[in-house]
Amino acid sequence: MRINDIFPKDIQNKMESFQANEDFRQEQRIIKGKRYLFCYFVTLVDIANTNEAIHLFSEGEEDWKELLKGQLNLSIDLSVSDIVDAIVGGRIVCFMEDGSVAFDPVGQKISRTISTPQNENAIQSPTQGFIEDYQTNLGVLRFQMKSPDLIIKSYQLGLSSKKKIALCHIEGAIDEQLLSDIVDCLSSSQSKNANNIQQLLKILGQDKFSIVPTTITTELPSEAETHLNQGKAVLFLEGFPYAIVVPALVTDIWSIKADYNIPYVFMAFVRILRVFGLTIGVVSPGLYVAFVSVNPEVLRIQLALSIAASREGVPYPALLEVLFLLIILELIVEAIVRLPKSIGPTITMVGGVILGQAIVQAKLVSNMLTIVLAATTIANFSLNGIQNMTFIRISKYGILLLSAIFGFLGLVIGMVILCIYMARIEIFGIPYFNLHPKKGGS
Amino acid sequence: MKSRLLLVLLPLLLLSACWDSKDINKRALPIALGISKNENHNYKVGLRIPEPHNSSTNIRYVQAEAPTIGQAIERIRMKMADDIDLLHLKLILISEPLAKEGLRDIVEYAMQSNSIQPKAMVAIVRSDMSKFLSSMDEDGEEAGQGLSDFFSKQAGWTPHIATAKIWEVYRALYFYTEDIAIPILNKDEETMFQFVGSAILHEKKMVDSITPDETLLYNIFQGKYDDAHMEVMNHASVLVVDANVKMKATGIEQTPKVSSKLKVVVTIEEMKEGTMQSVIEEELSKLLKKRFDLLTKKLKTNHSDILGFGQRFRNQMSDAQLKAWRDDIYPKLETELRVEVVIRNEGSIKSEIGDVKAYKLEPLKGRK
Amino acid sequence: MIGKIAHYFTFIMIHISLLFLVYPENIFESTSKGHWLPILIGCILEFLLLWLYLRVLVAFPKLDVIEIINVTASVWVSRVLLLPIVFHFFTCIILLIRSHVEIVTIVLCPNMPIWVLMLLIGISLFAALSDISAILRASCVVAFIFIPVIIFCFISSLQNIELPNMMPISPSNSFSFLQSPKFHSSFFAFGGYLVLGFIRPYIPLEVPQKWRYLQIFAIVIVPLFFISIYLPLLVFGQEPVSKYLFPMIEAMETIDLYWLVFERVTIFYVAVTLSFVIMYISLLIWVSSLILQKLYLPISRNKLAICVALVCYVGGNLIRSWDEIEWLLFNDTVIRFYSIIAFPCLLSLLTFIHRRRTTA
Repeated sequence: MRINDIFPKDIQNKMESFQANEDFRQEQRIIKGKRYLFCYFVTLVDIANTNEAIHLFSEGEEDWKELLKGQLNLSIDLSVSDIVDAIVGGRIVCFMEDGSVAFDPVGQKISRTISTPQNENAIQSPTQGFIEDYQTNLGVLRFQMKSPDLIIKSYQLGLSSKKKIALCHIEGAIDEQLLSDIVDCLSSSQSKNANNIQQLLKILGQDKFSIVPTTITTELPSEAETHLNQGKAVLFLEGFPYAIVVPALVTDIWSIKADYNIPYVFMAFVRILRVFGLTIGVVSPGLYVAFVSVNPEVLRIQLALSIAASREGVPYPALLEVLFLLIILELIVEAIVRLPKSIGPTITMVGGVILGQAIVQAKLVSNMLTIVLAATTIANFSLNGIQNMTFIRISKYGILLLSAIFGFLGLVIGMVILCIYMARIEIFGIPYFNLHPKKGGS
Repeated sequence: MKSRLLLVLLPLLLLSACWDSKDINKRALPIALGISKNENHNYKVGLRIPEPHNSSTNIRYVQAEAPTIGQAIERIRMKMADDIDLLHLKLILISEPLAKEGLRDIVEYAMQSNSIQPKAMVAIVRSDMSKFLSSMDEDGEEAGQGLSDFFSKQAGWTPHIATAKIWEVYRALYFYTEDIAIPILNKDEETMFQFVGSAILHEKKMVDSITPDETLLYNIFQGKYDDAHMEVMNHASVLVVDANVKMKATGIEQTPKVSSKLKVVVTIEEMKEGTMQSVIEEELSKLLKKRFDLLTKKLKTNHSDILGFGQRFRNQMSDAQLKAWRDDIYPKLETELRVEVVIRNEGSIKSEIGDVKAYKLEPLKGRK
Repeated sequence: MIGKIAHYFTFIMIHISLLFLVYPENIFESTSKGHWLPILIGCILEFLLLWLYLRVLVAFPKLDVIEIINVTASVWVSRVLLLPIVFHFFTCIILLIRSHVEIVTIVLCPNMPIWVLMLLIGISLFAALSDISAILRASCVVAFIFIPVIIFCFISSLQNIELPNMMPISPSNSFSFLQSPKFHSSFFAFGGYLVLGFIRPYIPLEVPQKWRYLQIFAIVIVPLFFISIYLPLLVFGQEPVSKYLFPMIEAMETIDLYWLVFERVTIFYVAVTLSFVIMYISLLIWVSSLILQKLYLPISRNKLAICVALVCYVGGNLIRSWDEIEWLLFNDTVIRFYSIIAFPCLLSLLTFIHRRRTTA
């Protein structure tokens, strides 16, 4: 049977363009005298196991369509684009004389199994992580929540590549306005691509130049659960092994939901530590520059003298000194992130020990500065979430610059500006500075 | 968008417009400033500047002469490769002849110019200023700290040493009812310097000096007694561990009188055999009373109220009386001191003879 | 959470930013003993006015002062009545920024040109360009971060106080300070409450909040007024303290804490008060641009805010010396008394007449 026997020209063309793919199969079977043409990608479909389902066709019941609808998620009366979507999406499309159907086969095992998260370490909390498979993620979340109030809605976005997006929320916990705003954003942008988080943020109407992360990502179902219970919405992007939590609030910088698995006092302690980390991470390079080049009178004389001694012979102003070392540090961080675990330590060795030692001995920077910047970097990474860390990493440069001009005053000004900047941010009308994702109340 | 542009442009504009800060290693940080006058009545100003290097700290002494202090510092600035940042100044030294001439100019300068911190210490130097300032500390490493540690309660200070910060001196110059004693230092052969007494002021001039023992009394009256000190008497030497004073002021209209009650808590360090506690108490209180009488007499003739008697009358005096306190009322003031001695313990060794104790311990005594 | 308390924090912050500027100097100039009396007079006056003002506001739910006058009288009345207020806000902005810039050049960066430091008004503008709720949030967070620093400064300056210095405690009998122009200038510090009426629709302000405001004023702000006078007084004593231009800052300069890594606490104090001033100015810019937009120039509020900031920036740069700041402070007295004292009374009079008319 050829498709053009029955079907319009465009379907035939489409199928022929699929033919160019090595893994595309068109398989013709004759069952009880009727001809069926199955089209699918062999890389997505486990055909051997699916045959069992196909055999159902052969039993030839008159109402087989009705029977199979539940079992195989059968869809009938397909348009051209439906057919294309179904084939690309890993379904089998079956062409018959009287139309076409698409159904779910037994899929190939493409995604990895659920395992511990790769980029997020949780101490004393469940260590299941989300994976690339969309359905599995939703399943994991359902398994985790066990709540009838968990509502999952699905959207399909994109033109060239269709991606599913699931919007999860807890009925009753979430602010109605927030939910409807997100729904509006998603349902009005069916034709936009959502291949990465940037595109997703654009769909959600977030400011492209915002340095404050307006969403947070998490790999841990338990984290997602707590966010949901707090009244935030969680998005799953197909093929993306993270839950995207909307909106991010300022408290997310220092509070990890796994903290609730340790006693209250311990939680308070680690959170205060993280707030310290936040402060040190933002402030200390600026503080160094302010005290070294503008307001040295603030330092005790002993400290002032020892810093002066250590800066003896450093040929450029403190600001450049700090920027120079900071950039090297950032490069080390950036390099280690991408390197395989087997080479990582080498960079640590080269960057930390050799470079750190040599740079001081060569009098390119003062040894006080190496201490300050090491403290900054360590403090920086005590925070929660890569995006929050990056936010702090960036904002310290602004404060550094202001401190170089105005000294300690500049530092305070910088903090005020940062406060104002963060206070201005509203994510779907929810102020970033709110402690709870509720509208209004400001 | 507009506001974001503002945010980006502002620092850039500022950075290009006014970035003239000097790094810390390009600043000389003097820790002591010495002021004296030369024959031409010009100020001779010297700075003691520690110059840190990686292993040790050198001391540099720079001086200049000019009609005003500010000008002299300006001249020093012209001599130095680094900028001079006076904000770390810990000690302002004034030569004794200059202090007798008047302190007003110096203190006013230090308070008025924002380049000196008002909490720098003031001291009067009896020996030659340039020799005093250029002498090295015993251990060169601590060169920066030695000077300030001398007056620091956390370091070398003892209750005999008077301390005076600039703002305190300034306050004393203009305050109606309280004065201040300024420490006098002298050069010493072994250590860098030695405390020899305190200067008392009248009319913004140094008029007389008091001994370290009298300074101790001053510190007690000022509530600055801390630490402990030793009193040696005929029959015993005691360690005074605490001392405080309660003052009561009466009769501002007719005969102003302040009766003070001094309570000292002592422990006995050593004593002659057979001394009774009551003897020690009496001796100590006599000693302190004598000292007090001498001190108040000296102070009254010099119109200097460093013990703060006037403060007790502040609530009772009218505006006119406040103004007249130092010159008219204070010399007529009657002062009285009662001393209460508490012997807390007698050190690590039990005394065998003592009046009260001996009575209580009679049975034991019998065994002996 | 923040939304419910932000405006209280802002209220406190406004007063802190007004308080420690020229208020102590004014009081020390106007009287030489019994300082508590002028402070108390000022505080009681502001308390009563605040009560009056809030009473009017609470009577008209969801309306700001402009709308209240519009309702009770007419737009023209509000145009006339609010014009001096706008002027008052302008001078407030100029005085606040300019005098703090002067302090900064004295204490922190002596080499910095004035016009550069005046650019700090740009930060206020940056805040004023956003929503009022954002300003309140930012003020709240700034207050939250920096008020502990101020408290630390206060506590550590206690090390130098001498209690007898506050004697004589009995006030002078003649009440001569009431005529002192410096005492009139000191009312500059009592005008902070006016802003509440204009940001009113954006903050919860019902009867319980009204009482909370009065409580905060009595419990937090009145002690602050006393601290601002008695702290320097106890450190220095009356005769020396009256010689200082900034008694509070001199009091901070005397702090010497051996265990603190930092030697000069003044810097923290000055920088922190400046940050409060920046936030207060952003509120003032927001409010003045709102009044201008609602009553005089119906163009976008952001444009007006930029204009207000520009005018104040230029105005501040025109002031060349501290004497001129004092001159402005002195000459502003009439408008200030109108805004702080007469205006709330007029407002309540208007509402009273309105009541009578509507019930009759």
